[in-house]
Amino acid sequence: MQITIDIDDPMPIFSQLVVQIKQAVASEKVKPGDPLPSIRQLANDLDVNSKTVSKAYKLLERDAVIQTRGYRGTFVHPQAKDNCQIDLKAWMTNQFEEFIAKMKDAGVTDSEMRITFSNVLNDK
Amino acid sequence: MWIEFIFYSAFLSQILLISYHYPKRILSRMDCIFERCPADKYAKLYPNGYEKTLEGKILYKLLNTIILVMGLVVFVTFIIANQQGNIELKDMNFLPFAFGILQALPFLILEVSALKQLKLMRNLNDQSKRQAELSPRSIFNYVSPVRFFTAVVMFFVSTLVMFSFNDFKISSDIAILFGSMIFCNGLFIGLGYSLLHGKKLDPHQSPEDRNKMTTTVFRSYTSVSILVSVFFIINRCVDYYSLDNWEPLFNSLYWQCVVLLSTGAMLKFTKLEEVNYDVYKTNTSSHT
Repeated sequence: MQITIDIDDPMPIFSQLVVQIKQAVASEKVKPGDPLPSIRQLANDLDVNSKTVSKAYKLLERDAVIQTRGYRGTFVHPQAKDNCQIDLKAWMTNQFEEFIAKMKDAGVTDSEMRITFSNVLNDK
Repeated sequence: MWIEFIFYSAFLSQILLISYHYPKRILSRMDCIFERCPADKYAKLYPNGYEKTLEGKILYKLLNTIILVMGLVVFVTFIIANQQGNIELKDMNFLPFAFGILQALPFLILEVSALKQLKLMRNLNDQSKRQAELSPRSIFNYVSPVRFFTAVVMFFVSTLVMFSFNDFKISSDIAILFGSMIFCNGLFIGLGYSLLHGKKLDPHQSPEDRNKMTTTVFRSYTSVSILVSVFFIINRCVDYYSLDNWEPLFNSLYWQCVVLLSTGAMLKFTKLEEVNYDVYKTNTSSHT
C-alpha cells in the first residue's frame, strides 16, 4: 500500500497523511493490527520533517485509528475502521450547541461565554 | 611445487576476475544504459550531464586497464623470482590483499561518484508528489532469518575459534583480527540500518526496484559477513598449524569470493531489462 503526498497542495502535509491513512483503513487496504512504518522511516521516504509525520500520527492516535505499542512500533487500532467514520468536527459542534443552549437557559450572555471560554482555553 | 602452481592460477584468476571480467561487464552495462536511455529523453538519469558520466566511464576503464597491466607484470615478476629462488611463497601472503585493495580502488571511485550523482539527483528533484510504502521495513523482509542468524552465529564461532587458538589470551594479532571483524560487521550494520530507515538515495527509483536493490544488498552483506568469519577461522588455522605456504592461496581465494558475493551478486540479481527506467524520463508536461 502506497501513500502519496503533494507538497504543492494547499492542504497541510500532516492533514494529507491523516486523510490517506484513514482512507486506507476505511477501504481495508490496511487492517486492524497491521504494523505501520516508523515516524523516521515515513519522514525519510517522503522527504519531509519527522515532526510533520509525528503530528499526523498523534492526531490518528487521538482518534484511535492507530496505536503505539512502545518499542514494538505503531499499529492500526483494533477499532480503527469504526473510529475512522467518526466526524470529530460534527461531534464537537454538537457538543458546543448543547452546552451553549444550557448556558443560555441559565442566563449567561454571549460575551460572558466568549470571555470564559477564552480564559479557560488560555489557562490550559 | 604444486602448491605454487595452484597459487599462480588463483592469483591470475584474481587479476583477471577483478580487473578484467567484472570491469568489462560493468562497462557493457553502462553502454547498454547509455544506448537505452539517451540523455535528451532521460535527463534525470544524468544529473551531472552526459559528458561527465562518459568521462567517469573512461576513467574507470583506464584505471582498470592500468591495474590489469600492473597485475600481469607483478604476476610474471613473481613467477620468475620464485623460480630463481629469490622469493618464497610464504613471503607473498601480503600480495593478494595488497593487490586486491588496489583492484578495489576503481570500484570504490565508481561507488563514490554514484553516491555524488544520487545526491545531485536529490537536490535537482523538483517533483511535488512523493510516495512512500505504508508498511514498516524490517531486515527479514529482505533476508531469511536462517541466513541472518547464520551470519550472527558464525561471528561468535569465529570469535571463539580465534581466542581458543590463542589460549584465550589477548595478543596484538588477535586484537587486530577481532577489531577488523568488528569493523567489517559494524560497517554492514550501519549501512544496512541506513538502507532500512535512512533517506531514499535515488528520489526517482520505483518502490519495486528499491526493494530488489535492498534485497540484493542485504544478501550480499550477510554472505560477505559469513565469509569474513570463515576467513578468520581459516586464518587462525593456518597460523596454528603453520600452513604458511597455503596462506597466499587462501588470501587470494578469499578476496575473489568477496568480489563474487558483492559485485558479482549485484550484477547477477539486478537485471537491466527488469529495471524501470521510465521514472528517469524528462518531464514533457508543459505548465500553462
